[in-house]
Amino acid sequence: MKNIIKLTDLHKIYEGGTHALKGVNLEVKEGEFLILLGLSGSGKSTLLRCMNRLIEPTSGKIEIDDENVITAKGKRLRKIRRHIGMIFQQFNLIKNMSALTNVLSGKLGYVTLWHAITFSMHKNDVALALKNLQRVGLEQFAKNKARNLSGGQQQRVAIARALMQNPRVIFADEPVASLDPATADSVMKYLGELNKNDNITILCSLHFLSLARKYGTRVVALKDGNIVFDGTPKEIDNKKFKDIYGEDAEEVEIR
Amino acid sequence: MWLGGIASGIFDPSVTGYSLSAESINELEKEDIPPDVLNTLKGIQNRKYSTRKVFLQDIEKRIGKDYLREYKTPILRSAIRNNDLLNIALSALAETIFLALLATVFAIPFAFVLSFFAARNLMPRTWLGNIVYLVIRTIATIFRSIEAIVWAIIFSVWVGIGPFAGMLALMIHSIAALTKLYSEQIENIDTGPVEAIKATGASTLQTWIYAVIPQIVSPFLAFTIYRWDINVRMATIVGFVGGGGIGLLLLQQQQLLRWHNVGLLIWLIAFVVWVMDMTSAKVREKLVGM
Repeated sequence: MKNIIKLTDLHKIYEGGTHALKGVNLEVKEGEFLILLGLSGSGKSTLLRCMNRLIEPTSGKIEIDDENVITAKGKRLRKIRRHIGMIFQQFNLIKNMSALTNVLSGKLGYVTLWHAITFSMHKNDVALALKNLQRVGLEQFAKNKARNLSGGQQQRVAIARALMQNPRVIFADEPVASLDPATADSVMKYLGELNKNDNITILCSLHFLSLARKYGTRVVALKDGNIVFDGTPKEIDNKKFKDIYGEDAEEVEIR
Repeated sequence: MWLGGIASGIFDPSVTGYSLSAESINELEKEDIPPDVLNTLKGIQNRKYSTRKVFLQDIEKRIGKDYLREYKTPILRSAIRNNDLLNIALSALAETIFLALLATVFAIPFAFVLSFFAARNLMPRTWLGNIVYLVIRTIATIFRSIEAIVWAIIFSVWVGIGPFAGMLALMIHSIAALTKLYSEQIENIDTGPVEAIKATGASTLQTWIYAVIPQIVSPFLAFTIYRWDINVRMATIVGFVGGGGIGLLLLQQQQLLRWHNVGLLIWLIAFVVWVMDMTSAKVREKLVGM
């Protein structure tokens, strides 16, 4: 399998002086389901956002799908972004718009400005959006406003939106952190399905080791902006866990 | 004394009612009215009637049904022209409401566009972004700190006394105020959707349309209606310095020391502001709850 993501010596120093990433080197193979572990503030979110330049990295090299992300500007950057789906902890849907419109917004990287202004999408796109909603089991909620959906449903709409982009990679930034355990598992199940059936590479930051073991094919742990662990989920024993989360940490099992 | 006059203004027949003045009689003399009828009418000169009906009934009693039928139109015309302040006031009030409405409506597109460039979170922190942000913010602040009444003085010199000057004054002030209110609303939006739409590969303008505008439509409407409400109140003051509408009328009546008329006008203004206040509160409640 070829590398789809390659990070070389990636640094991010925020304006306030916080050194969030301290020279991250990472290679991700196509089709991997990579779980990012680490305490809050360890640099997981920064890493994911640097990779599609929602946050500007300070130095280093990023290659995704053989494209140099760092030097990309304007149209080329947008072309790179449209193949990278992104899922957020707070779902980040447009709350007073319908689920369907939210899903359609995933196609914005492909359509002209005029289509965006008039909110008139091609009927093939609308059909695709409905199909993607069906895939996440929400076709009957297409006309519902996003704000009226439950947390789990909103996150599934967000997954459908990412699917509209026809992504090669999906970055998921703590996608289940604000969901209850049962819903969290069902959302992860959809991500797992995309990984297996559509061969989409997934980078997902998590806090639950049980979910990491169940869905991840590889685990990378960050601590203070450095990678402190890189291996399979099975390799994380009690000692490794304490290395990542600190001496006082106890693993909380959710079933 | 005059305070009591103001309070009773609206009920005073000399303000709202009908009568024939010396000027009315002069005008009627030009019409083809028989001298005896005219003499009879002279007999009730300056007598005040509270309503049109009472006025006509009394004339009918004096000159008879047939004459009244024949000369009703000229009599009423001259009578109304001389005395019906309520009619004049109502049309001046309509003028005030409409000039406030026009000022608000014309201010919306300018403020809407400008507000995006005056929102810190949308303007990139490049030198160009900073300059655009600073220039728009500064101009808006300067224009807002100059009161509408001062703008009205400037415009009444520029385009002449009247409602057009008043409208322009309120419009300039509204653009500045709405730009500030709108842009602060934009700065308060949830940045999550903006990030999400940007991540799909959307351009900046697409991101604004999909992630920013849906979040601001209802607060913008609420602010705009509130602004109209403010503009109606300001329009009366602006009228004082030559901005037209009921303010100008109020000034004229005040300078003629016709306190009863002033009283009527104040009552009318208070009533309209009360109605505007009530309706705008209701509409805003609906919109924000949307």
